[in-house]
Amino acid sequence: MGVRKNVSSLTTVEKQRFVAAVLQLKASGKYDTYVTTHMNAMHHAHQGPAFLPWHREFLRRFESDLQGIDPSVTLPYWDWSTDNTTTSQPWHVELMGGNGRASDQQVTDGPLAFSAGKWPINIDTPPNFLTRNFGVGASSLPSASDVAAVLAITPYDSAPWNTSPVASFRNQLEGWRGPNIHNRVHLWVGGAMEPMSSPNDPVFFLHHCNIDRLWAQWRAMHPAEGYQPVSGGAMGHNLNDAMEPWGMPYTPASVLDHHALGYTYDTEAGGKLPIKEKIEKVEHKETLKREKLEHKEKEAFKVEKPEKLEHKEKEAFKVEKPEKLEHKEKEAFKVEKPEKLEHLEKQVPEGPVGPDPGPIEQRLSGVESALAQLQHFITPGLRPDLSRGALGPQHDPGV
Amino acid sequence: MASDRVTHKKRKIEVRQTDEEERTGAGEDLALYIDGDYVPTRRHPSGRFYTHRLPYTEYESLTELGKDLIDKSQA
Repeated sequence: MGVRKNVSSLTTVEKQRFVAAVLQLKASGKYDTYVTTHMNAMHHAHQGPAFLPWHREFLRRFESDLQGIDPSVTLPYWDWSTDNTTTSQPWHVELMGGNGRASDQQVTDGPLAFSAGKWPINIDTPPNFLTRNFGVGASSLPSASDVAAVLAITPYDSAPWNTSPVASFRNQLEGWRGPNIHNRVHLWVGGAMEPMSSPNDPVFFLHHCNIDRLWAQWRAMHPAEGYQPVSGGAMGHNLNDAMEPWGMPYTPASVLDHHALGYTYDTEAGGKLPIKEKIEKVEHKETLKREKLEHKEKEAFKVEKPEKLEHKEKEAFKVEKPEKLEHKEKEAFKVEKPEKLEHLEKQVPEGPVGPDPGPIEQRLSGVESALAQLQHFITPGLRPDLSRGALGPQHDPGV
Repeated sequence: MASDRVTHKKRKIEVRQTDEEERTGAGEDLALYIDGDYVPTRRHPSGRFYTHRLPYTEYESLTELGKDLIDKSQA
């Protein structure tokens, strides 16, 4: 499972590899398709419940493309609530470069500088160079207390599922109510980050990776809170609606469990969310139960059971793991009822299984006869590693 | 909301009544024009104005929205 790290904790090599992969994606022309996709995603990706799942899928595809270039790369996140200055990690020359210059907001340092020739802006021009304008569209970045306040909000979203509800984690995280989290970061960076073509600036992905991390964190904090709405929202925003432009099977429901998508965040304890830990505890309990029951069975039935029956028993006690972790524990782990096992056990015949082997003297005689036949074929020349005694009584007078 | 007509960085911003087919779709019959070209906008439930061209913010008035579009080379 890939671990998405804080950009400030990347090693020098990790930074180099991430930047190299992004530049290669840009050179291939694929990067600009992400800009276009986002430009066309106003209604089904913003100002509604699907804001978070749509961007999760968007980032997952982008990360997958980067990994197609360099499998070691994972998407880093920019935690702007703590790394919140004009000289923060993302703006270092080995990563995204810094602020735009005063005259035309053009980014002039780092790998995305127009003069470096590797980052022409091709979508939503002019200008054809990357621009930034720190701290003008918004005077500050969201603080840690702003983030904490929004993480405490439930439910996930509320009717009428747009920019108006206050009691909506999604709406406050997106930034239309409350302290303004996501929108404010776009405005603070400014320049290319302000229009719908905002992925023109790769810091878009670092920013949204942090938004995605906060959503994962919120889900861990509120495991009983599901995605809303199941129905009644605008097309593309309900739990099982197809997310455009990808269509089925990409729905909000399909991306709720980020672990199932193959990644975790370095801020998750041991790479696992509390809900997962709870599930593992349940799994452990079920294992103990199964072992206890198996022990009782062995005591009750001191006979060897056919392999096929043992397999059936194992199947009967198999713990079914849910694909989606949002289900409650009881729903997530459905253990087949012991009645099934009892039924199978009733099918086991009493007494020894298989044909009667006969008296012990008869069996011993058969074994000795088979050994004598085998010794006929094994000569000291064939097995020089064995002592003469090991090759039978005819070669060892001492026996 | 009142009609308005201002010049900003040598560009003409006009907020005026629209033809039926050009209504903003938010129950308003006033719309934004920059140098005579209609600019699609919406009004959020908050009462503030919004444009897809600058999707991360809202504006108190269409005139303010028009100025920001010019400032950010989106009009």
